Amino acid sequence: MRDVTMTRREWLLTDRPQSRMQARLGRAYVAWRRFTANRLAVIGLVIILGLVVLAAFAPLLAPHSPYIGDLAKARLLSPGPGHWLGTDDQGRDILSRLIYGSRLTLQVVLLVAVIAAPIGLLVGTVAGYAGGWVDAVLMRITDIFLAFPKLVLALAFVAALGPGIGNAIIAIAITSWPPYARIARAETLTVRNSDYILAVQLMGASPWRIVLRHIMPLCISSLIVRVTLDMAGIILTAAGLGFLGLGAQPPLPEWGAMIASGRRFILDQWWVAAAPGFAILIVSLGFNLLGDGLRDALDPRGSGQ
Amino acid sequence: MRALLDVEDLRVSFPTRTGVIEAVRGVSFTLGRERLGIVGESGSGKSQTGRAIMGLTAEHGVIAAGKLDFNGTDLLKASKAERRALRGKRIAMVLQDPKYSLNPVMTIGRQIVETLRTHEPVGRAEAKRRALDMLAAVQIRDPERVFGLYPHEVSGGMGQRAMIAMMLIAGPELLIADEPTSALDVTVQLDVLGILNHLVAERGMGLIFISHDLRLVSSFCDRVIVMYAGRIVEELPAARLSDAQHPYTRGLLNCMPEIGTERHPLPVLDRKPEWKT
Amino acid sequence: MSMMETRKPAGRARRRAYGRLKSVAGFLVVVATTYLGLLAVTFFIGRVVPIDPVLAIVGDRAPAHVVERVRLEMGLNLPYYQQFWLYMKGVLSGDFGTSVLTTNPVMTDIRRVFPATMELATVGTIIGALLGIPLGVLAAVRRGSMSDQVVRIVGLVGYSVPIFWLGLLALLVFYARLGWVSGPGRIDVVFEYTFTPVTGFFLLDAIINRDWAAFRDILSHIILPASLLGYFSMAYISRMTRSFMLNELGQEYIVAARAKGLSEARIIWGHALRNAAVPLITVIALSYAGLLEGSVLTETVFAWPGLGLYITNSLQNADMNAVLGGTIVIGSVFIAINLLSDVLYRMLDPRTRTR
Repeated sequence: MRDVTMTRREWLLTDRPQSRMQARLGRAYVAWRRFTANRLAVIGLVIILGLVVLAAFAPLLAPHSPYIGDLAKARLLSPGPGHWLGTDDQGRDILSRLIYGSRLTLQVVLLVAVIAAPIGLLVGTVAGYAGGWVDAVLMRITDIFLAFPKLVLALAFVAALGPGIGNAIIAIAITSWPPYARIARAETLTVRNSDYILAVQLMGASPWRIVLRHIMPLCISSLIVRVTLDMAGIILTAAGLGFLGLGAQPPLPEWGAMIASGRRFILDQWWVAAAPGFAILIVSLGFNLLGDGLRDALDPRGSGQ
Repeated sequence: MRALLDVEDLRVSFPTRTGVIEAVRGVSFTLGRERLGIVGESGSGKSQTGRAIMGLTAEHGVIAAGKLDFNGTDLLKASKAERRALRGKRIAMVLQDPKYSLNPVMTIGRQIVETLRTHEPVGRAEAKRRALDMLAAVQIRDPERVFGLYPHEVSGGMGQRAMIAMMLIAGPELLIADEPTSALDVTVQLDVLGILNHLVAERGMGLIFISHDLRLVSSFCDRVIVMYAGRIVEELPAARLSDAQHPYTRGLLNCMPEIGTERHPLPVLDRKPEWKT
Repeated sequence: MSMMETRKPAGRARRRAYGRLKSVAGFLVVVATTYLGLLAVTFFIGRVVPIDPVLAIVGDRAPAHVVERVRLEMGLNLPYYQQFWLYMKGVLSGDFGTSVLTTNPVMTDIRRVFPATMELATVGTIIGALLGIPLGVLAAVRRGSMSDQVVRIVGLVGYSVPIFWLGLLALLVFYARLGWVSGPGRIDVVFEYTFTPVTGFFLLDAIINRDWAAFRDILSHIILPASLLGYFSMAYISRMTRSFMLNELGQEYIVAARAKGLSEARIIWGHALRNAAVPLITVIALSYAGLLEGSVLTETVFAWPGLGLYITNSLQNADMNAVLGGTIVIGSVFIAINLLSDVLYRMLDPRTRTR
C-alpha cells in the first residue's frame, strides 16, 4: 500500500490512516481548513496573536515609558508625531501604556482560564460520571452560581477582598466556572455509557483514572471553544472592575482604569479615554471571532454555513 | 382525456461546493385524473420530482424541463406568486410524518382554516364550518374536539387525517402524497389509505403517490413508475407488475417476502452502474 | 368511545394534578436552595472574607466603643452557624442592616433607587427586542447574504464593546457636542418640585400626571443609556433569534406551510417565529436580567440614580451592608426572572402546557 506515493495533502486526508498520529494530524488539518475558510475567524486569530506579540515585546515596541511622563511639557497632548495616541494627564504616552496594558489583559484572561476551567472540568466530569446524589448536589451548587449576577457578585467579592488585580482575577474566576461544569457534565453523560468506557471499566480502571484519562480529554475541545468565547466577557468584566477602581490600581496601565482616569477629560481630551476603550473592543472582538470560528470548525453541526 | 399534468425531461440539480448533484435526470410522464405511483429507493429522486412539481425545490436547486404543464398552465413560466396561488388551491401535497409536518404551536383547526382563507375570501364562521365538514370527511368522529386540539395531542393516524384535511380543503385537482403512510402504524396505514382513496375518487382528483413500498403502490395505484438514480427505469400498469422487464424492478419485487417460501439467503438488490445512464 | 374512554379522564386528571403538584414542589425546592445559596455566598463575602467585618461596615475611622457595639450587634462573638442563622432571619424579614453612607436602613435606600434601575432595564430590553428580533429574522431568512454578515458583525461588536466606554463616547457626542439629548441624571432639576412620582417609573408617572413637558425631559434623559443597554441586549437577542429561526425554517411544517400556498411573510412571521418565540422568551428574560446587572456600570457613567450607582457608591465608601443588600436584591430578581421565564415558557408552548 505504501508504494503509492501520496502528496502531503492526500496523506492527511486519507480514509485509512496508518497511525494514530496520522489520524490526529488529519483531523486537525480538516479542522484547520474549515477554520481558515472563515475569514472573520482568521481576523480574530490575527488580533489575538497580535496581542500576544505586543505583550511579549512590550519593552521593545513601546516608544516611551508607561509609568513616567513629562508632567511639565507633555500633559494631555493631542495625538500627533512623537505621541501617536497623545498623552494623559500625567504626561505619559498613551500608546506605550496601551502596549504595556496588553500584558495585564493577557494575564487576567490566562489566569482566569487556568483557575476556572479546571474547576469546571473537575466538577462537571465527576458529577456526570458519578451520577446519583453526587451529581444532584454538585449540579445544584453549579446552578446556584449560574443564577447569580456575575458582575455584581464579582464586585461584592472584590469589595470584601479589597481592590487589586489579583483579587479581581480570583473574583472573576469564582464567578465563571459554572458554565464549564455544565458543558463538561453534558459531554460526560454522552460518553459515560459508551462501549469503550465500559471496556476500560472491565479492565479494572478506577473511577478516577477513567475520569482523568478517558473522559476529561474528550471534554477539552468543547471547553476550549467555550473558554475562548468567554474570554471577551472576562476582559469586559476586568475592565469594568478597573473602571470602578476595584481592579488594577494606578499607576498600572490597565485599560479599564485608564478609561476611568480619562473620563475627567472626556469633553476636551476625548482620546485619553477613547484609546483604551478601543483597545478593549478590538481584543474582545478578536476573542469572540476566534471563539466563533473555533466552534464552527470543531463542531460543524453547531451553527453557521 | 386531457392530461392534468405533463412532465417532459424534468431535471433537478443542486450545485454544491464539491460539484453538482443531479437529483432528477430527465423524467417524463403524463398524468390524467388517475392514481400514479412513483417508487424507488431513497435518493432515487422521487421526492424531488414531487417537490419540483409543487414548486418547493430548495432555493439553491436548479430546475430545467422540456415541458412542465399543469392543466394548461406552464409551470416553468409561472411567476413565484402564480406558483404560490396554485399551491394548496389546485396542487396540494401530503407529507410523511404528521408529527413534524403540522405546526406544533397552532391548533389543528387553525391550520386547516388557514389553508382555506389563504385561497378563498370566506368569513371566520364559514371557514370553521367547512373545516369541520372536512374533518368529518376524513372520518374524524369528533370534529369539534379535534378542531381545538394541538398536533401533539392527537395520534399519528389522526394527525395524518388532519394533514389530508388541511391539504384538500381548498379542493385541489392534483394531490402529491409523499410517503403519506410510512410513519404510521401498520394498522392505521390502511385506514388512511382508504380515506385518501375514497376522497381522490369522489373528487375526481389526480394523485401522485410517492413511496418506497412497491407492493403498497401496486395495490393502490393505477399505474406505477419505477425510479432509480434520478431516472425512470420502468413504467407499467399496476395490474401487470409481474411482467416487469427491468432487472431493478424485478429486484424490488424479489425483495418481498412470501408466506410459505424459503428465503435463504435473503435476496439483495443489485445495482448496476449502467442503469444510471 | 367505550367504557375505557369514559373512565380515563378521572384517572388522568388525578395523575395530572399529582404531576403538577410534584413539579410545583420541585420548583419550590430549586428556588429555595438557590436563595439559600445566595444568602450563604453573601454571608461568606460579608462575614468570613473580610479580616474584620466590623471595620468593613463602620469604616476604620469609627471610635472604639462604636466598633465594640457593632461587633456585639452583629453577633460576631457567636459561632458562624448562629451568625448565619441571624443573618438569614434578618435578610428574610427585609433587614439588610444600616447603610453607613446614607445612615438609612439599606432596604429603605434600595426601595427608593430600584425603580430607576428597573425602568432603565425595561426600556433597554424593549429597544433590544424591537430591534433584535427583526434583525435576527432577517439574518436567518437571508442566511449567508450581506445583511446576515452585517447583523452578525453588529452583534459581535455589541458583545465586545465595554458598555461604560461606549456610554462615555455617546455622552460626548450626543449630549456635549450635538446637544440632541439631555445629559446625566434622570430628570431635570426644573421638575424636581413639580413632579410627583407615583410608581417610581418616571415615564409612566409623567403619563399618569399628564405632565408632557416632564415626559419629554425624562425621555431625553433615558434615551441614551437605554439605547446603550438596548444595543447590548439587541446583540444577544438577534443572535439567538437567528439561530432559533434557522432551526425552525428547516422543519417539515414549513414545507407543509409552503405547500398550502402561504406567503413567505406569513410563513416567516406567523409560523416560524411563532415557534421560535417559545425559546426566545427565555432569551429575552435572561437579557433583561443581564441589563439589570449591566446597569451597574451604565448608571455610573450616566449618574443614573439607581441600584447600580447605589452599589458603586457604597463600594467606594466601603459600605459593606449596602453592597451586600444590593447584591441580594439583584440576585433575588435574577432568581425571580428565571422562574418567570420558566412559567412563561410553559404557558407559550402547548406541548408543556397542562390543559
